[in-house]
Amino acid sequence: MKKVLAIAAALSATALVLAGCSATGGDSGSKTLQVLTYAQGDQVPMYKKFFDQCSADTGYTFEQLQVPANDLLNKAVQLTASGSGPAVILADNQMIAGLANAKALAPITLGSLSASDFVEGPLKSGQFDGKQYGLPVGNNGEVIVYNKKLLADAGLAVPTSWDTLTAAAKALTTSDRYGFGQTFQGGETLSWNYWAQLWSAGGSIAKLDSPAAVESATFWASFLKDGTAPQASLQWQSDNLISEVAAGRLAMAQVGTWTLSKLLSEAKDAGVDIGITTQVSKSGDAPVVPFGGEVMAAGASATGDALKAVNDCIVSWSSDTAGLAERDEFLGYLPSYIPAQAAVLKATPYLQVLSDQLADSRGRTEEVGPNYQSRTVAVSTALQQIATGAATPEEAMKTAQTSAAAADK
Amino acid sequence: MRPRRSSYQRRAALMRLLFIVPVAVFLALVFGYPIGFNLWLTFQSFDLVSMISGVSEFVGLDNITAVLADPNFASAARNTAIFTVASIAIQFVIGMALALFFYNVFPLSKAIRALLVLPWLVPSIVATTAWRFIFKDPSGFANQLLGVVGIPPVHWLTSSDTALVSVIIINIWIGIAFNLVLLHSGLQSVPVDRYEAAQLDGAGYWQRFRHVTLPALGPVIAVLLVLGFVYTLKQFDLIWTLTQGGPGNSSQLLSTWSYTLSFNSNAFGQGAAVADFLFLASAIIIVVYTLVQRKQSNA
Repeated sequence: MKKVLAIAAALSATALVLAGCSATGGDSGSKTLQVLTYAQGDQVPMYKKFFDQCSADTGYTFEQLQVPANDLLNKAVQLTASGSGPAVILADNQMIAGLANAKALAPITLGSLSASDFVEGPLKSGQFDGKQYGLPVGNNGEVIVYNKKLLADAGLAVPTSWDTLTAAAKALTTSDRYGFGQTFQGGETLSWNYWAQLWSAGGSIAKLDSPAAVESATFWASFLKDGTAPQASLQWQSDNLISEVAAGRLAMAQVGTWTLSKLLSEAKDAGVDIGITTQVSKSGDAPVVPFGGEVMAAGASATGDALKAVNDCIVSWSSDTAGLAERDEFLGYLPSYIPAQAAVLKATPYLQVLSDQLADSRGRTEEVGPNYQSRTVAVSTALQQIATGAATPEEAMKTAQTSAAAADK
Repeated sequence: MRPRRSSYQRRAALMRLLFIVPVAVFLALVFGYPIGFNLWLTFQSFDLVSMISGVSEFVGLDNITAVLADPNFASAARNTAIFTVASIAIQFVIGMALALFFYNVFPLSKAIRALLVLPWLVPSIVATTAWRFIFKDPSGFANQLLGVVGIPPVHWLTSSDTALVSVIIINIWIGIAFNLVLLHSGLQSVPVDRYEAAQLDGAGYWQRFRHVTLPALGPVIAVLLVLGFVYTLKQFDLIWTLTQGGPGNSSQLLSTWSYTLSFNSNAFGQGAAVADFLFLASAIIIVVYTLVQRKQSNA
């Protein structure tokens, strides 16, 4: 009898679990909408506050599910394929082409917003094949920060070209200080730091073994090879770089704009005066740069009323201009929605450099569309190989092109 | 009488079959299906689009030739071979030495033995995170220790010369416990009188080890090496947490490369093709082991 009871209990438990699955997975009667994101730390409560407002406005419950940034694209597709896909995807803008191409996204409308109120590049980063799938959350980018005093003492001008950056890095490297720091951790975080140099040499992401690609990769890896950049940066992200800059152990660094407010406050405490300038280019002209920042996109699992609720929520991110300025200021972003830009630039004037850079920007997937991911992997491996001397630039970039092309559709 | 007997035999055969069914179903679901799916993927043009649409095409050997043509294949295969052989050999030698050491019971020997097993019990993600701090560039614990004796800091995980060696060191650290436990329990089952007999014949310590201990441990060692081989070959989370195969593929194994191909480059077919090579290597070892074992039990 005991056994029978145990079996019955197990069966009913299974039934409950199954019922639970269908309650969150199905469309009809489901009130929970999943938000897939790679937000971290104090960004999570910030987004929670925003999505709680969406929940209150629409009657649905928006719930965040966090995954590592490198896993988001795959996770979104997997969940969508399994029928319990996310209703909202907060994806890095370079993932939109891949997600839309895989049919993991649903098209949205701009609602009360007008397309001309958005910066063009970022608005386009929410599109694929002429359809709008999401709207930009805001934009960030990589800029160069430098220790003003160290540069002035050495009589150096702010670097703008390959030659001046290399010379400055060499001049500023001492036994207890490195001249120039970059993120060299494998993956997108490394590749997107490098694209502006590839473009400034006349190269394209579509052809990683072109002479321009080899030349620019040689330049970008030269700091580690010359010992003017710390070897540890092979496992560093922008967060690690800024504490070194603030401590005076790094004279210059290319860092993400999302770290600037932390950098400036840490440097202020340490009595270090920080300057901010654009990324360099081969000739010293204004560089064409990639822009970062998420697109808040509608997931293909949202249909009917749920999609309408998701659409309203996405539009409300920008239509609430004061809230947008506040949220983007918190994220270290410059709003892509122009009416909110002035307020953010006033509160965070250090984003002016980002604003200037965005004028000459290029979407990361413009050249290769959904084939972008394999190029990121291949180029970051190649750059690490060149930097550590494991391969010559020609070999490494040729391998990168071969590997990436083999994964192309 | 004859028909009855044969019907009994038939029933017995049926019963035997019924006893096998649960295992067969379990194996088919848990092992057969994933391996079969992986093999199917190897010959398909499966990508992110197919994941949702479910549509993919047969592409013959394209995925396998693409993987073999990729210069990364040779380096990942070489790294996997070095990683596996070095890990198993050194783990085994250290594990054997420790097992012999702990064969003699002395005060606290049980407690120390238990502590040595700890690395094996700690979830590998925890252990590897701890090792990340130890190997941190440039001021991790390992470099601080080296600094005490005046050796300049080593770029453990951030140099293409040392990354593979560093992950091997950590894998050995994890694997010693497994070797120690199996060999120690193996030693307990060696009859003491054999040692006494050998000693009476005038055998020294090494001769006793060589001619009594090793032969008696034979089956244990065989199991140990086979399991060690399979565990090491499929090692993934260790590398992934520490280096993600970097810098620049210098610690890339077939397992991590397969993952990168599938889930970072979204080339699922190529990832599956690399995984096939891992299956193949494991299968060869296990078949050889089974054949040797069968020969031994028949002898």
